[in-house]
Amino acid sequence: MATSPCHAHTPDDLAPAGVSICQAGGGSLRSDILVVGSGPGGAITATLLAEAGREVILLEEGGWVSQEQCLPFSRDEMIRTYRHGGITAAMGRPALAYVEACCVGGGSEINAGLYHRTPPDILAAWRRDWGVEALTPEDLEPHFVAGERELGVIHHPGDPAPSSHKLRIGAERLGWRAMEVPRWYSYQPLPVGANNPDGKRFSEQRNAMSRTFIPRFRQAGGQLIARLRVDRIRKRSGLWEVVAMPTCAATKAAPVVFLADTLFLAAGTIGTPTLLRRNLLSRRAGNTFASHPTIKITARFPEVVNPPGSGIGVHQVKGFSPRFGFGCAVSSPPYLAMGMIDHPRDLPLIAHESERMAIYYAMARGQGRVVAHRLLPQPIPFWRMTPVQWQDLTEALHKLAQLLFEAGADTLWPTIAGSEPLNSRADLARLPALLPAHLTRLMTIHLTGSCPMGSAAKGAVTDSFGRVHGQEGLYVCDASLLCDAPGVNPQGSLMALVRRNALRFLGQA
Amino acid sequence: MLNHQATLTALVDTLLRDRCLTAGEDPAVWTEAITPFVTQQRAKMPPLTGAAVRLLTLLLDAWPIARGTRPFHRLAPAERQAVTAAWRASRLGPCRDLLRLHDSLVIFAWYTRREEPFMPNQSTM
Ligand SMILES: Cc1cc2nc3c(=O)[nH]c(=O)nc-3n(C[C@H](O)[C@H](O)[C@H](O)COP(=O)(O)OP(=O)(O)OC[C@H]3O[C@@H](n4cnc5c(N)ncnc54)[C@H](O)[C@@H]3O)c2cc1C
Repeated sequence: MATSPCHAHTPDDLAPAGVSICQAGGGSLRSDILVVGSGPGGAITATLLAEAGREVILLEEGGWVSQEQCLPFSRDEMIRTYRHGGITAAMGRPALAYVEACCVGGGSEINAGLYHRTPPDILAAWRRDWGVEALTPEDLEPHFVAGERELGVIHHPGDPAPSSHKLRIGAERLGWRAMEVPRWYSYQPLPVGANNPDGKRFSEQRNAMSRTFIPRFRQAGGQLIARLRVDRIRKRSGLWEVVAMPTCAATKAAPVVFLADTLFLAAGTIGTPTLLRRNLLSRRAGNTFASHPTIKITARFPEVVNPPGSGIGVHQVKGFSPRFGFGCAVSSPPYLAMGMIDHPRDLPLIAHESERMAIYYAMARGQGRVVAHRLLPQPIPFWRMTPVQWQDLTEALHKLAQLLFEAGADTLWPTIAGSEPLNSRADLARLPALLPAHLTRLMTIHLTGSCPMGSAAKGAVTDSFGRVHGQEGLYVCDASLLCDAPGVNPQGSLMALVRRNALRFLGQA
Repeated sequence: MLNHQATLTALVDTLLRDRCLTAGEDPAVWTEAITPFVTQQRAKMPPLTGAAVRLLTLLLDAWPIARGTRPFHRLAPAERQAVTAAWRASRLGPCRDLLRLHDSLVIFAWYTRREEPFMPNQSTM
C-alpha cells in the first residue's frame, strides 16, 4: 500500500494515531479494497476485511470527533457531526425533515444506540417480495450474536429514566406490551457524593464505531482517511478508479485518486445511490427509499420524570408493528424547546418545568425515491405515505396520546402547527380524525432501502449479498441495502447484514 | 438596499424577542451571540436548498418595501415582529417554512446556552 498523500494527525481534530486527516490532497493510492463511508456499514465491513488480511483503505467525508469531545445531543455535536448542519428534508407533503451524520463513524456517533434484531416477519417479507436468499432468522442468528457481543449490547444496569417508565406504565394500563430495549452502551457505576450533584447512578458511553470497530480496523493495519469526499467512480483497466476531494482544505485542494480491485460503497441511504447514479453504475439505485416518519408529543407530568442527565428512555411499544410503534425521544431542554415550537405560548414553561416534561414519538412507515444526477448539485429525496399509512400515523398519534394520559400526563403538546394543547382524556376528541398534512411536522432518523438487495428480476439494486447487479467488484454495504423500513431501529439489522455479506465475500460463510 | 446578512441578523433578533427573551435580557447581546451559529448552520445547507433559503431571506427583506416601508433589516423591532407574524400565518408554505427553519435554529441555540455557554461571562449578563 502506498503512503497517504494526506497529512496525518491534525491536532485540532485530536485524531488518534493511524487516522489520517486529508489536508491538501493530490496524489494517488492503490489498495486491494476501498470502502467509502465509515458509518456502521463501512466500518464493520472494512474491519472484517482488514482482519482477514486484506489491504483496506476506508474513506470518510467527515472529520474525526471522538465521543469524549462533545456532549451527546448538544449544539457542539450538531455543529461538528450533523450533515448539512442538520438542515435536511425530503420533499413531499408534508416535507420530512431527516438527520444524517457526517463524521468518522457516521450515524453510530450520534445515535441513541437502541438495538433490535430484524423482526422475522420483516425478513419473510424481504425474502418474498425481493427474492433475497439466505435471510431467515436462523441464517442471521450468528451475525446478530456477533454484533451484540462486539458492540456490547446490554440492558440498562440500573433504572432507566422515569420518563421511560411512563411509557411502560401507560401501555400496561391499556393492555399493550411495552419492552425495554437494550443499547450498545457502556455503563460505569458512579460514586454518590459532591462530585455527582445529579445523583446519577451510572455514567454511560455510546459504543460508537469510533470506539469499537475503527480501533480494530487500525489495529488490523487498515488505513482510514477522513475529510475526503468521493465524487467520481469508474472502472479502468479492470480496477475501480475513485476520485475524492478533500473537504477541509484551507487552500486550493487537489483531488486524490484511488485504485482498488474491489469497491464497497457505504455512504449511507442518500449517499450511496447518489454515487451509483451520478457515475452511471446502476439505473435502479434510488428508485426506492424507505423511512420511519415520526410525529412527536411533548408530555408534562405532575412529578419529575426527566431529571438532569437522565438520558434517553429505552422503552418502546411494538405491539402494533409493523404499522406503527411508540418510543421515547431525547428530552433535554433544547430538544423540549424544539418539540414545543408549534406551541410558542407555552415555550417558557421549559425554563421551570423541563424536569416534568418528556418527548415521545409515534412512528409509522413511508417511502419514496432519491433523485440524483451528475447535473444536480445535490441529491433530492422525495417521499410520500399511502392513505393507509397516513391513517396509521393518525391512529398512532391518537393511541400515543391516550397512553400518555393513562400514564398520568396532565398536558400534551403534539407537533401539529396551530393545535391547542390537550389537558385531559376528553380532549383526545379534539385530535384530528385525519392528520392535516400541511400542519403536521414529521421527521425521521431512519433512512433505508435506496439500494435494496435481492433478485434483479424483482428490481433489486444488488444481489442477495450486496454485489451491485451488472457490476464486478462493486458492493453496497450500508443501510440502503435493507429492502424496506424494518419497523424497528435499523442499525442492528444493518450490522448483521453487512457482517453476513463481508464473510460471504471472504468465502467464510 | 437588500442585505442578506443584515436580514439574517435582524431575523435572529426578532425571533429571540418573539420566542426566547424575558424581561431584562439584552436582545443585542444575544443576537450577537446566536447569529454566528445560525449563519454557520445555514452555510452548511446543501447548495440548492441553501440558495432557495437565501432567496427567501432576501424576499423577507424586500417584503416591507412592497408595502411602502423600509427593508426588513432596517425596521424597528415591533415592525419586524409584525412582519414575522404575517409570514408565520402566510398561505404560502415557503414563507412559513423560512420562519420555522429559523425558529428551530434560534430556539435550539437559546436553550443550549446553559449547558454550552456562548460567552465566558454569559451568566453575568
Ligand atoms: C439522531 C439519530 C439517532 C438514531 N438512533 C438509532 C438507534 O437508536 N438505533 C438504531 O438502530 N439506529 C439509529 N439511528 C440510525 C442509524 O444511525 C443508521 O441506521 C446508521 O448509522 C446507518 O449506517 P450507514 O453505515 O448505512 O450510514 P451512515 O451512518 O449514514 O454513514 C455513512 C457515512 O458515509 C459518509 N459519506 C457519505 N457520502 C460520502 C462520500 N461521497 N465520500 C466519503 N464519505 C461519504 C458519511 O459522512 C457517513 O459518515 C439513528 C440515526 C440518527 C441520525
